[in-house]
Amino acid sequence: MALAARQVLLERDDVLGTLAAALAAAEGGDGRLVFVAAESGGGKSAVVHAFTEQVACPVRRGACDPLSTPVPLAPFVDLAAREHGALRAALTVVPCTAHAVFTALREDLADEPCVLVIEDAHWADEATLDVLRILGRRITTMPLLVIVTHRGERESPGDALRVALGDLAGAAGVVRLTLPPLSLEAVRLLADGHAVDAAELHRRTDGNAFYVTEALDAGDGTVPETVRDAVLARAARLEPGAREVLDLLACSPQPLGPAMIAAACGPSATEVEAGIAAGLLAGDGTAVAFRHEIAREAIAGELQATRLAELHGALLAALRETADADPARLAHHAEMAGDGDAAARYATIAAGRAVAAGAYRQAAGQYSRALRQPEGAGGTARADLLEQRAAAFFAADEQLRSIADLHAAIDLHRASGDVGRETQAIARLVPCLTCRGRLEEALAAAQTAAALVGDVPRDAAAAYGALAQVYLCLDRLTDCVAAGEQSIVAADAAGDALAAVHAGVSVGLAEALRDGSGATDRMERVLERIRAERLDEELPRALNDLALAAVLARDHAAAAHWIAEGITHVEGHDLDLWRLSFVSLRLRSELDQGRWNDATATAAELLADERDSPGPRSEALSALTLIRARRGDPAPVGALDDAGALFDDPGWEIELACIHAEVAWLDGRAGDIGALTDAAVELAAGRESAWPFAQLLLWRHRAGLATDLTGPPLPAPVALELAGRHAEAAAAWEELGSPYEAAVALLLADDPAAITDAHARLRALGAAPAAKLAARRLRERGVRGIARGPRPSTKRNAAQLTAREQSVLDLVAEGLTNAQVAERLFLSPRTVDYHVSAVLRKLDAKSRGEAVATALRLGLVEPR
Amino acid sequence: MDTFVILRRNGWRTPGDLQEAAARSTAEGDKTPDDIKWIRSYVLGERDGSLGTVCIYQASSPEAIRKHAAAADLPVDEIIAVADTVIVRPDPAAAVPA
Repeated sequence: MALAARQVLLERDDVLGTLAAALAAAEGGDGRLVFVAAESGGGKSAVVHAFTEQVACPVRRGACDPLSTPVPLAPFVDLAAREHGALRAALTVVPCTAHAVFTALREDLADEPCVLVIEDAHWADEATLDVLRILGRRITTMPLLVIVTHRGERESPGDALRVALGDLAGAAGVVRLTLPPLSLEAVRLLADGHAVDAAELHRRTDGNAFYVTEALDAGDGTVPETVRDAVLARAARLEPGAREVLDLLACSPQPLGPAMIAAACGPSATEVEAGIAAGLLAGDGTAVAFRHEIAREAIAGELQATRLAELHGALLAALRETADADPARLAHHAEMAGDGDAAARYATIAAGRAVAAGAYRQAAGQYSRALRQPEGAGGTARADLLEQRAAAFFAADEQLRSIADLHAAIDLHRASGDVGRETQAIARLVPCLTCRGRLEEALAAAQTAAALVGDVPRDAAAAYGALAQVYLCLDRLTDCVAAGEQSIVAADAAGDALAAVHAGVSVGLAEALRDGSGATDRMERVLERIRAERLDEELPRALNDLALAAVLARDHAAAAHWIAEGITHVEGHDLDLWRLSFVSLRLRSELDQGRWNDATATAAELLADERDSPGPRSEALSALTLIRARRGDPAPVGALDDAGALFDDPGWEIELACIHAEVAWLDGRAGDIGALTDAAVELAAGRESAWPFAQLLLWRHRAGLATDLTGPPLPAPVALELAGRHAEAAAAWEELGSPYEAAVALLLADDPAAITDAHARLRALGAAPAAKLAARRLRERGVRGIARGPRPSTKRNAAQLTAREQSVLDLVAEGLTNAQVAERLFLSPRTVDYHVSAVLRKLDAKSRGEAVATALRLGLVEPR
Repeated sequence: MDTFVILRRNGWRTPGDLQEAAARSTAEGDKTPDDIKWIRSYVLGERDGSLGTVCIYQASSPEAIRKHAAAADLPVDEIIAVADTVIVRPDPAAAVPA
């Protein structure tokens, strides 16, 4: 900190300029969140310090904890320590959530423009990252410039900071900067006056600013081998007393005040001064720390094990004396001091706080600490910790680790004969397995749990609830309803509202899917109960399943409604894991409506997400493959097969067969369809969902194969085409909002007029392969003069209104409001809203008036 | 990025129209150089007297090509993935002055 002022700041004008511009915007009320990345020692602090030194508005700072298991919300705790305001008040409430922090920050900082600096975000815990996400999404409404520094090293996929950066990628007001290393010229400038070969220095240090300045300050004309050597050379010049203070500080991830240092080392004011004078330490009046993390690590690396344990013990003792020492810190020091008991105790407390703050990875880290203490608990207590860690892993999207922990816990419960706990643990294992598509395992687990159930209603509720969930994934809808009802009865007996509602959602979805109409009355009632009793935990899943039912029933209006509600809720509560699921559902709906541009954009969004989510990823690949095949674009089907290889899910096999069949048909290889779908159609016939079976049967029919297989009842468009009534089948597809499927049904008619109509529709949709098939069928029927003709203009193409949309447009053009249209057409207001949005989108209009004007111009409505 | 061939058949009535299209294509493409790069094109003299093109582009995906085409108001008839490029002789001189 002190040294930074001495440095000449080279080659940072660009960065300073960007920061200045960001500040100017923030001062106008249009805030910015700027991420500044550089390698360790690259000079992030220096440049940020130089910037903040010369701004007029107030500057506030907080730093993240360099602990493997940092204190949740550490930089905000740091910030609040120096302020009195809403933030300090918010943090005293334990647990404090990311949302509470954001609200407090907004209260404290929204009056006048200011700069907030958060350092070392590569160490940030999840709760801190949540705050940054919330800030990033709302920053343009606040007069705030937030600067976040972090190490830019290539983190592994799934790294929490990288995920957060990915989540903020499109956000307005978020800027990412990288500091490049110093160039040879810059090093030459700095080395001027020192007896050192600048080129050698630049080569050895790779332009790392810290290394360069350390090497120059060593002042003996040679360049130390490593940064570490440079630091140690500096430290070697200190007296033993001063070195003791350095050693102590090296063990503390936080700055220490004079009282703490004195408690551990005896009075040591002069020794501290010596450390500062040597350029290794820096103080801000109240506390002292290493000037740079590299220096701290170098000194810490020199300490022998026994000395380390001693120092950590001293810090632990001193910390215990202070009023509100954070358990995360206490746990760290206790473990390093070799006090396993204390480490386990503090770690468990710290874990609980982390969970409450939403810092799940950190919670898992603390549970791990508790678990690895040698004289730690065995049996039930160990199983407790394992289950708690499993829950933390699950919430942190690490299902594989969750699964491993639950297996271990189950073994312990089995060994100790605790059937109730064993059942509960197995029930918790099931959703982890279904998330990964490991359905056979999930079924086996759920059946084991159900078999263990005795008289305890709570356990029965959990076991049958898990069973219901697996049956749902396996498309055994009748079995799902049966198991779900059993769960509800048990849950009500146990007074377990959450379990009752959880099972209620499963049963509701099964019922909606079973009759194919998407009837969601039961689910909507469960939703009402969730809202009334504030069972928020179950809200995302309920909304998700309502959307799923609508999407599978091809009721796009309802789907749009539930997806919108779902996304609003999860964004409002920053439940990013759920967001992917809703976006996947939106993708399917867009695909089914022939909105290919929207669908490919959504698929790209899903594939760009940093999380390791097999479900959404494969949905995205399926959609892209299908759309590309339908357009005649290069469509690597191999990638799809690879993606599915990880799934043990018959539903996926069926879907894959359907895609292969369509691709073969479009390719002119209808003869392959039989082999491609033989296994899948048998599978689908034995299941309960209507559409997958129907679609496979349809492709086989189109390939000329017999279709006398019995399975779930066939939806109208498929039944009609199988009966040879193509025009009616096409109309039925249109009713469901699927223009592509309608055109394909029409192209397979015998009547040349129908095929001509299909050909025109397919060209307008950009479905080149299918259009070619239509052209060929026309030529086979002796029709000439097809294909060419004037190219349909892209704007005109867009106005492919469905019959329903046309009726709505007609009434809107007459001047009716949405409510009046709803009455007139016997539709629900929300369905009319949805149709009006579709009309506006297809006519590229921003208002009803514009839409009507465009419609008149294109001849879609009669002038009045 | 992968390389693609794009066929734009019977797209334009006059060389002037085509030149305007080229300008639009460049303007749009420059906005997202990491998604799409126009490499070269051959202008086709179609049988009905109109002009078409065979274009070589590098793009992050077929969708990027379509997005670019929509923004620049260019037709897209077919997109084909290029597996390999074999150059036997240099291109002949431009048939239509640029």
